[in-house]
Amino acid sequence: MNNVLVFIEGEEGKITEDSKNIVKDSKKLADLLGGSLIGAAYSEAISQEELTQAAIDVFWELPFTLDDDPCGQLAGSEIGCLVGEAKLGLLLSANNLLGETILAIAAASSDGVFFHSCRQISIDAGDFKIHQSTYNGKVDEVRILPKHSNVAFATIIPSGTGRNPYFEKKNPVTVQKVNPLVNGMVPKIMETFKAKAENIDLTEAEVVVAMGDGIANEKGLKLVSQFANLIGATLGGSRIVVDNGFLPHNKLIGLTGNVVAPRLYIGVGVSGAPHHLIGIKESDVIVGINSDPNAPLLKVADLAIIGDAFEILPALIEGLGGDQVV
Amino acid sequence: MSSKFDVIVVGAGLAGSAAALEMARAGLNVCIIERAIVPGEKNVTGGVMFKGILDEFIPNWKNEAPIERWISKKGIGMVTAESLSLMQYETERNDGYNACTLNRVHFDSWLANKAEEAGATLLTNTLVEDVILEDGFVKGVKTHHADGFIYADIVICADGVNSLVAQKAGLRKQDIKPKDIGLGIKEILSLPEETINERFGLKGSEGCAYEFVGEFLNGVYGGAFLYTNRNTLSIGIVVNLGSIAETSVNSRAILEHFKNQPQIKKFLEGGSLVEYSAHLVPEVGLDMVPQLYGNGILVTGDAAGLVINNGFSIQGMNYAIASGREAGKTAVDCIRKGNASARELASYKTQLDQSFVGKNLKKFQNTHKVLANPRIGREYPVLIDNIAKNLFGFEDTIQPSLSSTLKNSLRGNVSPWQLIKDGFEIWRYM
Amino acid sequence: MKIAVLIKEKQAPVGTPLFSQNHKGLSELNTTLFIDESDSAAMKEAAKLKAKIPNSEIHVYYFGNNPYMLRSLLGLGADEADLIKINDEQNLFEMTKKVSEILVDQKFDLIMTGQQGGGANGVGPALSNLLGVTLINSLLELEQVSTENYVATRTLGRGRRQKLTVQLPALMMCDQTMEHDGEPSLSNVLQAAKIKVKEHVLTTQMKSDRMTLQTPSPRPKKIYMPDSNISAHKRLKQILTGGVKERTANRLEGNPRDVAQQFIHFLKKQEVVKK
Ligand SMILES: Cc1cc2nc3c(=O)[nH]c(=O)nc-3n(C[C@H](O)[C@H](O)[C@H](O)COP(=O)(O)OP(=O)(O)OC[C@H]3O[C@@H](n4cnc5c(N)ncnc54)[C@H](O)[C@@H]3O)c2cc1C
Ligand SMILES: Cc1cc2nc3c(=O)[nH]c(=O)nc-3n(C[C@H](O)[C@H](O)[C@H](O)COP(=O)(O)OP(=O)(O)OC[C@H]3O[C@@H](n4cnc5c(N)ncnc54)[C@H](O)[C@@H]3O)c2cc1C
Ligand SMILES: Nc1ncnc2c1ncn2[C@@H]1O[C@H](COP(=O)(O)O)[C@@H](O)[C@H]1O
Repeated sequence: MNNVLVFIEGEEGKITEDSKNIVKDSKKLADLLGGSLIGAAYSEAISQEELTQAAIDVFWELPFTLDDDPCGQLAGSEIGCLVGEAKLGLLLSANNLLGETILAIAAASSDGVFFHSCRQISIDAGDFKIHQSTYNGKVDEVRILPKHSNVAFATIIPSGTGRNPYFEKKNPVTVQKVNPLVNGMVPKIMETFKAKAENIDLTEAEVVVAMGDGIANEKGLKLVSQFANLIGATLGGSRIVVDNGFLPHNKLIGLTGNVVAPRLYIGVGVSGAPHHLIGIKESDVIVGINSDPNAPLLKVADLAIIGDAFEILPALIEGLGGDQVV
Repeated sequence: MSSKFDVIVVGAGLAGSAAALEMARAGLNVCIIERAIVPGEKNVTGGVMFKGILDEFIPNWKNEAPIERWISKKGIGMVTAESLSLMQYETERNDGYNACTLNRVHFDSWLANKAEEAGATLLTNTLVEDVILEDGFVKGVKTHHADGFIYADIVICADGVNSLVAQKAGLRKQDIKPKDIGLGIKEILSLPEETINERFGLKGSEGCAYEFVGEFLNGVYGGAFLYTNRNTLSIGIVVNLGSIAETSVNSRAILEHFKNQPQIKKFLEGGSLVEYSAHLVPEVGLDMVPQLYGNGILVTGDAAGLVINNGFSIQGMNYAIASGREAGKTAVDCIRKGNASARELASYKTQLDQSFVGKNLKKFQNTHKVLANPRIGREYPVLIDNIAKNLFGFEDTIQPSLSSTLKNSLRGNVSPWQLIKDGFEIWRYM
Repeated sequence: MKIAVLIKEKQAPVGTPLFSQNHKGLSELNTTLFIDESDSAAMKEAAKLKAKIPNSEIHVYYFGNNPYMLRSLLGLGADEADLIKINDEQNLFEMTKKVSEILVDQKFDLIMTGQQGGGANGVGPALSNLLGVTLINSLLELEQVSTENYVATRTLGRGRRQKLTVQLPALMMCDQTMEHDGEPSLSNVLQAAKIKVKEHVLTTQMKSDRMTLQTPSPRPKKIYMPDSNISAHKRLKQILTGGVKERTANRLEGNPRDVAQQFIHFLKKQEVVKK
């Protein structure tokens, strides 16, 4: 039972960044165990050409696409059935809900043991030494699972440092078609769509507009809400704005509120106190609109717009063809 | 589930649960309402409970109740900037001790559960916002829930020191004056059990309780305490709000000052802060006790100001349980008679006065006048420091006589006449 | 309709974690108990369904130890409750078989949970497999179409949503971002106070055991490290700004109308606004 399986996720045919890191870790573990590395993925998830890039020995193409199995229940049962036959000792995937669902179901159906959000797995004197992150990141738990009688399933927190992972050059990958062993009541997709801006949660929003104390009055709220609406952005606020009741508490951005990681963050009338900046540091692009040139936010912004928001916002709304706020 | 009960108890603290237990045992349909999710979660106490009536009220409590440590050593300390004179009493008692330290979440949950086992209904996570008054009688309470009215013939308010229900029912006419209230600030430091045992000379579940007055108060009327729990230390101060207002001393600074005093610091070595809390505590006993009863309502525990500080320790928990039970007994009689008027409920006051609660209240009625004496926090610790320093040979003069030590120490400290006067006052009131 | 709701009692250290029993456990001196948002959402969603569907019942299964924390949830409309005592050293996933044995003969039509109750450690998906019910995860909204058929809306992250038709029996895991309001009504709170909570102690022979708890190492990727190749002053500034690297910001100033035009151009370049 020395073979290792890694569940690979694809986006438009390409292996995702996280999956690449997990494949690298799995390869090291497979070598340690002296077994081969099997990569499994939904059909049509990964292009043939991309496959040769991955350092796997065998590739299992599951007999259904992600659309046929939206929550991962089929894939989990399918892999669960193959654990014994393929002499698998360790099954891994990236630490996300899909990977967790698939491995947990595979473990349940093959009486294996599943560990979630692992930071690292090592083989120590014949046992799996599993290093889990618990209490939402504040504590690490180390568990031991004897290797001989158990199959370990684990989702791993990708800890790649961004340098592109090790790839063998052209690697001969034998592709195995997996025949459908399971069927079950699977939910049917009716439609996939983009939610309206006001229904998108701050933590997942691609574009975020933040309202600061600088424009904290009824007019300011109307203006910034209209602007956010016009560019399909989710509206959040700083502590002072939330405390004064302009926005509900779940709209707070920062240390004691939501941490956002949008493509674009626009802070209007936000000074950029450290407590607020901690919540926006993951943003790709930061824009600040502030009347004070040396407001801290403008110092860390990619684009600093200096001026009175009560004049700039109406001009923006007009430029975007929105109807003016009275 | 109808929302009509015989009696509603507001607050699942010590007084509330004790009252509910007494009434549930007598078969009454009782509803306790507690705003916290877990009973005791919001309650702060220094932490030494004297058993009071528990032996008789809940016979097997010593083995059932979650206790931190049994107090086998108690002392009073006079603290100066560089010295501590600690007078302590220690004894091993194999037939059980009278006082113990408590964790309020565990103890209050245990007591509330006793009341539930006896048949009471406990609503947690529910806030009482108002009383229902109909032609001069309290007929129930309004809770924060939608359609949140609950009705009962009698309401017992055991909702702690700033009792909202007593105020709403008009039993507390004037607002509480600062001088009537103490502010308790407390920290819990974690220390391994063995370290506590070694450091305080204890074995097994023995515990010690020290109280201090001294220069760290710089004239403010109050004191500090240090109690040992199983694997934590409770350290805190209780200071009179009126006195704080007069001297505009920062109460937080008093605690820091006390914690950094050289000898005290050694007690706390290596402890890490796990909890910080502040809470009000009634202080003037009888003077603050409002009208204890009204038509369809009784007031008990801290809500009735039933806390006595006799200078050696603050006791409120035992009085809360005793007064809670007393209120419960009165409610049982009145429900059985079907008459919840103030005249009937007045027997609560007479019962209370005859019990140790009332007697002690009268006995220590004026201690706060004695304790407010600023010299207790300033001159006398220095006086005792001088006497001890000399008598115990920490100074150069070899074996000075008692009389000469006393004479020298008094010089420039306090006049003998003042000392005698204070002594007489302490004698009379404490 | 028989609804089950799985809820897990969460513990969080306040400040730096303190360990006990020589690093095998977390000292409860500085930990607080709480219920995860997603689990509360699951309970409130179940209560909404119960209100709409005549003679339906909610049975809460609570993984934890504090009966009063459980009671604060029962007030939302529970009819029955089981408390499943777990000790923190046990790997909850290895208890799933035992939990499924408790649930299986109840024949629940719908099992609701958040990402903690039956969620985070794979318990939810494993249960759906062991009980043979359809699984829906990251649920945001649920509407009943007919007695057996429902339309579930789930989130795929980044604002993308997916609507699915699903047939009961099903196990549904609510997402962290699921909107949920609804407060306990007095009648439910009164009823909750009288629910006889059945307690279970799960004794399974654990395959894995806990070696130790420690503060995170190797350092998790997400903790911010300022770039090493910049001056100490700048490194400190970066830390002070919560790790936002200083960027050579270009500035827009002047007449609001021109500023607005240039910013809209910038937004088009960022593909936030269509050309
Ligand atoms: C323990 C703690 C936790 C905290 N957590 C958070 C948190 O999670 N999130 C958070 O946001 N804050 C948090 N804070 C508060 C934070 O420290 C700042 O107080 C807050 O972020 C400042 O909000 P602000 O920038 O909106 O307001 P201000 O700091 O008052 O900034 C207003 C800005 O608007 C500009 N301005 C004024 N008029 C105009 C105009 N007409 N046009 C354009 N610009 C204008 C001003 O130049 C100024 O820069 C926390 C504080 C503490 C102590
Ligand atoms: C710092 C400090 C140190 C002390 N040290 C000691 C000591 O060493 N020994 C000693 O014997 N005593 C001590 N005491 C006093 C003791 O803590 C109190 O006398 C005792 O807790 C009083 O109990 P109680 O039940 O009357 O009130 P509480 O214990 O305060 O209980 C009141 C209950 O009512 C609930 N409640 C309040 N309002 C509402 C509402 N509107 N709706 C629903 N529920 C409500 C509260 O949540 C609480 O659970 C100390 C007090 C302090 C502050
Ligand atoms: N004005 C006061 N109010 C409250 N406690 C006081 C006051 N003056 C002295 N103390 C002391 O404060 C300490 C509190 O101890 P306790 O509350 O019993 O834990 C005891 O030493 C009390 O005597």
